[in-house]
Amino acid sequence: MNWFPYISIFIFLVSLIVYYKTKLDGKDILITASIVLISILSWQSVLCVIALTAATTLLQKSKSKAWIGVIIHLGFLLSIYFLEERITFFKFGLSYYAIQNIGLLLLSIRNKPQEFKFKDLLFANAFFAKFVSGPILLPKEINALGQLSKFNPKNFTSGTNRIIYGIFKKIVLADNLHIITNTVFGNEEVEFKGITILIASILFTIEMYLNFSAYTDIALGVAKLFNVNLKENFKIPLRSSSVSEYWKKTHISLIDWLTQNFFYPISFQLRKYPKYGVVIGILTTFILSGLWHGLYAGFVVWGILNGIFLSTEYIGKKTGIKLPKSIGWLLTILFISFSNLFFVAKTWENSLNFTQQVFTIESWHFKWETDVFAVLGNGWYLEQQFQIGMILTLMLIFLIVEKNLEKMAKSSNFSIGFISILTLICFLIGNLNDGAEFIYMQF
Amino acid sequence: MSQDKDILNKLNVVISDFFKKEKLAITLTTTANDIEEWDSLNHMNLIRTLEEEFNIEFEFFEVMGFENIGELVKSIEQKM
Repeated sequence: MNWFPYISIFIFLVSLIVYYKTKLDGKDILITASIVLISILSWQSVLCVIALTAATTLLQKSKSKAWIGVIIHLGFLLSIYFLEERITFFKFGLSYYAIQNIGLLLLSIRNKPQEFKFKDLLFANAFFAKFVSGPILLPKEINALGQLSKFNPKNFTSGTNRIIYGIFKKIVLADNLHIITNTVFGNEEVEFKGITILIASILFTIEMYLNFSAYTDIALGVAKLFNVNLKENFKIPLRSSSVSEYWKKTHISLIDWLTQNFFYPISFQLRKYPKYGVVIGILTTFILSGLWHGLYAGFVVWGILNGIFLSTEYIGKKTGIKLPKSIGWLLTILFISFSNLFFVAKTWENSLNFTQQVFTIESWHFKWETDVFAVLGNGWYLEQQFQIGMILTLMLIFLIVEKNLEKMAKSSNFSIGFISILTLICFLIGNLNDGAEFIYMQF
Repeated sequence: MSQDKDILNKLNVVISDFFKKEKLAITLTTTANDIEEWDSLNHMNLIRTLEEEFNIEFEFFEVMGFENIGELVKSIEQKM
């Protein structure tokens, strides 16, 4: 039996009681609880986060030292790919807090020595609500976390709403969509028709958004219970009518980090050559974003493709080309989904395999029922027809009313209707036992 | 004080031109978030345009530190 969920809920409840019922310092309590929780996952990761936070605190004080800090962090990040798996138990959360530290060290190098306190940094790095998948904070945002305040019933209800909303998105929508997308992307060795792969990649784009934003909802909700306001990571991106709008609304904390540390410095240096400066900045930003996800060819191609889409759009806009919103939206979803094909393929072989199938003419002779529906539905008996129909209808309804639902999830009013309906749907059709992992925990 | 006003007026014209807008109503408290087209992609190009129009040069961290138009005006005034 896997005890981790029960132990973590127990520790979470204990810390909630201690947090509000004692006079101990809020950060001390949350840091202690985080260390206990992470050490149950892997004690090596606790040592790693403490050591790298201590190193950052010491090395932020001068330019040359900060360089050493950056190199140490890069060394740790790269080591994951070159060491055997039995040694890399220290890697939980590393890619998130390591670049948070690097951002701070780069500020010491480029601007002036920083004076962050060890405790504040450790809290920003290890706080259990954000440890495994962010949001990644910028130095000024770490500062803004400041002193933690005491019980606030409004934050408590809005936190609870947000957590339930996140659980609903994950186990009802994302996990059920995963059953469909996995028929294609979980079977790389099988040959599919081009249309099947394209539909699966659009569904994967939606799944990935729901999965990661669900995690963020839960993380921000949990933080809110302790009166901590973490940064938003998504702003309903699937309605974007341009690629640039999409990237302003998706994984915001990573894009902000890359913008501050790479795009702005590059586009400032090259500002005398406006178009080149922006294009080089965009490409660098997105290739780095790809590499951050892992040293795989698929991620690099994904980054390059997004860089090319965004640059083309930027130059197009500068020359006065304007598309109707609906066409912009359709193209954005298609472009992003096509690039995500490489993201989900990860390796070079898989990427080639999928793209070859999309781009061969024979692959476009297909029958909807046998080649598309039966594949995506894992069969096409009445049961599968019902299942796929239900999942897709639910997903569409959700995407249509998402704005309103999100408003309720962020509201500090207690709505018995909102909570009970979402909980009921979770129990009725949620994947309570065999749900997929949170995708962004692997990075 | 009157120089502040002159700079603000000129900024209004230059920024409106840059974003190809009818005259924007920029005040000292306006921020980039208030103007839809003013995003990270355009930011440094606008800074370059301002450098050319006012015949000055900014430093990177100065630019990164501007919280609103007021701080930009102050910085331009010091350089002129």
